[in-house]
Amino acid sequence: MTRYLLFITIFISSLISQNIETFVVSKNIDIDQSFNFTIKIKDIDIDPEVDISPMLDNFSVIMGPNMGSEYKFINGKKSISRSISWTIIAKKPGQIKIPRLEVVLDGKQYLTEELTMNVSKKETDTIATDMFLKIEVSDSDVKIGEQVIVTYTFFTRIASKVLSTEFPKYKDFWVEKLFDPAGKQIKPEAWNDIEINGYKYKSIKIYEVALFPLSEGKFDLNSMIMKIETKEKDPGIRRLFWEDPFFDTFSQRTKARILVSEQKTINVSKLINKPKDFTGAVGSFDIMSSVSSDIVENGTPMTFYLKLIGEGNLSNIGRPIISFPDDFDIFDGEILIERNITDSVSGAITWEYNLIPRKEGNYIISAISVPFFDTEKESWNLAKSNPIKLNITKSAYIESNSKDSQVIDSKDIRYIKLSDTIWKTENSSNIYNISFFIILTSIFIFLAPLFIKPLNNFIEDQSMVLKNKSALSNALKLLKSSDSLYVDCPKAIRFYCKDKRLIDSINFDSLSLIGKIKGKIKSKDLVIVESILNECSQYNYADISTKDSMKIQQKTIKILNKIDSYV
Amino acid sequence: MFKILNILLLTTGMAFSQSSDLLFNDGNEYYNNNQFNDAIKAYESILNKGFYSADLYYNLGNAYYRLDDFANARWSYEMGIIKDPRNKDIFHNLVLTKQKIPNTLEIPDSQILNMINNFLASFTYGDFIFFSSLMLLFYSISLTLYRITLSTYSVGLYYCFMFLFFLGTSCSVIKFLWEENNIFGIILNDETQLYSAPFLNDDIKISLFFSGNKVKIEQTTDKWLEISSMDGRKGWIRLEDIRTLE
Repeated sequence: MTRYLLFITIFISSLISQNIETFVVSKNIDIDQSFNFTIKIKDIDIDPEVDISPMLDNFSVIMGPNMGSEYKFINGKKSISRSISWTIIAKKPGQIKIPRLEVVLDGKQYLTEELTMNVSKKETDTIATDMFLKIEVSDSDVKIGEQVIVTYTFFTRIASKVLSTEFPKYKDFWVEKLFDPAGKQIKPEAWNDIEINGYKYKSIKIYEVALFPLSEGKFDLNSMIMKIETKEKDPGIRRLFWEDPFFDTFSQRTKARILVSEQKTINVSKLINKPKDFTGAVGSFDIMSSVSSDIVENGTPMTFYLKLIGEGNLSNIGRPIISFPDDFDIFDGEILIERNITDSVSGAITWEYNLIPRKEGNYIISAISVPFFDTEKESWNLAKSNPIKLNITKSAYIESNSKDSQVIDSKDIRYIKLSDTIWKTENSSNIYNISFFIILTSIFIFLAPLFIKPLNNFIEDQSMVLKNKSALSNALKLLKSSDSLYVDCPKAIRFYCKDKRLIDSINFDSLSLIGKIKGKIKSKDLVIVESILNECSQYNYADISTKDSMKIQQKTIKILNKIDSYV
Repeated sequence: MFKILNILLLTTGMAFSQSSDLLFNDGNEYYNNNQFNDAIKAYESILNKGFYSADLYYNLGNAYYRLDDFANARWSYEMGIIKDPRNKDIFHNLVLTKQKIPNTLEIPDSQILNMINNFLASFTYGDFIFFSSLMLLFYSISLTLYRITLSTYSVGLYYCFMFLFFLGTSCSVIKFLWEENNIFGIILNDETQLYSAPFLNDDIKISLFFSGNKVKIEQTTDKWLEISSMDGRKGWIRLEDIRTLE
């Protein structure tokens, strides 16, 4: 099934392709002769789309595309055809093919037939022509990189107006435009008067380029094509009046003409015996070198400039390799190209090198030689600069801060570590643990005052409780170990009362003590305590027998035990 | 249970560190016998186990240096400097290694920046943390002393330690942020190609990098790293072309 479909498709396309015709009026033409190229499509009523770009290498379009329709009625049957045509001109002589062009009809693609044109080279007869384009080539046998200047000049004897110009394109050449009329207003004084073979012409430079061949070989320069509008006398109109200029316009007609420049060939030969450090300079050059400053501090950046001045392929010269002193760090800088405004051919190229000195001392950047092919002498030549002295001074900062400078003098690395090492892992780091402990301690110290007061109170409370509990036993201990009972019995009562928090201080006399404990102990007991205190104060300094003192001791012990039972 | 776990961890940790000691000694032995390839294998195997020390990086760098592998030597020394910033031997060998690397891109020295950078680079993040915590301790002690004694001498000490504590804390923060935002790497392969996007395509080639250069790592994918160099170039390189300093 697929096969059948494919076959039908091919068959239908071949049928349609037979309905596409290409034709020209004559296949034998002159180089400057324009002609019509027409594509005719039968039995179709839609506008075709044609891609003519494949033929533009060899032909130039002067006019077009022009569309046309043709209707025919044969035996009552209507047939329609469409045509599309261009006025074109050949760019070079010889057998030139109009290639198969792609025609798109209703979204489908078809190809036209190929046509071969015989283009003859017409000898320019300046005597016979009233206008022509002249091409001048400065040198047609050159070396690679050697400059060739190509100038196009327009000569005319009659009033004319340039409608359009197709400037040639140059493959295999580096092109520098020296004169381009695009965007410029041509002033009347720009025209020159010149006499050729007894005829007076007006001439003007149309276009000028400097070509620099990039490879060896034989290269044809494409022609320049100009479309000119002229006013010429119409021989068909007879003058109604004598030589009256006012009526002269009636006898003139406007005519479009095509001018094609002559074709030139340039032979490019290769450069032989190239020097090793050749970087592509061809022309005539001189060289200069300079530095931004010849006294700089160690570590301070400076710029070295190498300037090549002269006439030649400035844009095609590579950066020369320079051997700077070892103690400099070198970085390639900018490349600046300056063209001479007056002739646009000569100029200068400046290469910048950024240098950073790394050691103090006196240095010399030796003379720099740039080899070039001298187009005037047709031989190799050498542009040589003068050496430059540099004084690199000590940098106070580097002297004090750069550890590198201390190491530079050393020639070899230090030996490996042979002793045992302390192994670490990503998670093990003692310093963080220690730091954490220190921070915790610091926080504790910060907060310590907040805890001290309640702690003191607590300790005090606890000691009071302990004293309270041991009040009786302490008083009894004092009494049992006493040598002077009349002194120690009141003392024991005071201590007991103090420990039991009945009084604030032990420094009270007997009356004050009774007054303080009154109401805190039973009245009966208060009377006994009062009697003990009185008795003791009464006999304190008297010589009383041991029997009486024992009585007072027993009495004190008894009353303290009694009070302790309820306080 | 915890006791058993602790003992287990301790014994395995000790066993690993003992084997690292053996490997380290083996590496040193190979180095002494000029068997630098074997020395590198021994040293690298310690790193693969997760153990490191400044001495290990130093010895590894020396072994690479002897084999003229200056890119890896630089990586080792730079790692050593990160772990022990004030180690003069590592610094000495690093400077010599840098001199051996052609086409190195280094930022020109700047007086003020250099002073700050040198200060920050001379200490690790841990050093700053330790210093700050120590100053905090002294600060808290001097504050307590002041509360007790109310003497002007204590006030002076109190302000002095407070300032040093804040200085240390600021340095730790700066160092931390610097380490977080500045991860570097050393280009290992000669003529490493820089691409404008993480794809192998001739149309997006930017320029070449040479081995031994230090570059900043901006972001990473599985197989690619976005880097920026000291001369301002930025682009993507393949993961195998670089060894990161972290």
